[in-house]
Amino acid sequence: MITIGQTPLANLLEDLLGREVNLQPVDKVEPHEATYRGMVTDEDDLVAVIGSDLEFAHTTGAALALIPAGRLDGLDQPDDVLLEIYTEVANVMSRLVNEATIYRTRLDPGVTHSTEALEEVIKSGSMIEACTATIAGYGTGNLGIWYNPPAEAFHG
Amino acid sequence: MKILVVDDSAIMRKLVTRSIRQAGFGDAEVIEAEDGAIALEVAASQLPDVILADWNMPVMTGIEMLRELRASGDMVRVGFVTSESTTAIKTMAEEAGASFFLSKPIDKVELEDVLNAVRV
Repeated sequence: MITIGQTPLANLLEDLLGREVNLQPVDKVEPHEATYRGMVTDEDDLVAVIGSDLEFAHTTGAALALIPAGRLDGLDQPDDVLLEIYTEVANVMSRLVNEATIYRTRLDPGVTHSTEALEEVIKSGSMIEACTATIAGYGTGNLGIWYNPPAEAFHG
Repeated sequence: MKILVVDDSAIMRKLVTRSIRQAGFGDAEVIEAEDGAIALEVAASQLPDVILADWNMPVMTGIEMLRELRASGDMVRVGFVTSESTTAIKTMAEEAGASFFLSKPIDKVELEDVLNAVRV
């Protein structure tokens, strides 16, 4: 079974954000649509999706850009600026997906796959990471990574 | 030292620049480009000492940029700062003439080492 591993993920987030990150496994993550980030092969096949609740996306985005944590107070709707920065968090996390799977993937730069296609991966794929992340000084949020390789990966 | 940072993400360019400062190169002149094609123009006009480039970018990728530089006879040092990390990608970069390969998130000690090598 493919997994990311919480220690590599925690280490990566700590190195990226420059602050302590604690991860706790959870059974289920319900990502917000605005946080879906697809990962594609060089042939643009969608093979994985990174998604989170808004809290994870906002806290990691703010922490990465050194935006004061007070900006997050009462923020319960998608924040475009923080979500754009969160995309870079997802981009860096894609490295771990590459290391865990047989595919060389990259963040889908052109957002060429529909929300429905991304949701299908979340619905049908294997959840290879599910955790609650606490970013020191910023807050807590839930992160999930789903993997759904093309069917031909299992043939010949 | 003049450093050209090439990345399609503005926030990542800022982060790389911040890492350069934190690695002890606060006096370096950092210039930016948002893809490989623009980087070629900037490199030709600004003559950087080293280029730190992302791998995946629209218009022209980092490896395409490096190959164009070498084809034109420009031997400026080029290193990749990328979330790519597979052996195949690293080999491709080396064969194209890359001087170093740093994974995101940037290890400041590694960055300091490669920039010190440029300064020598």
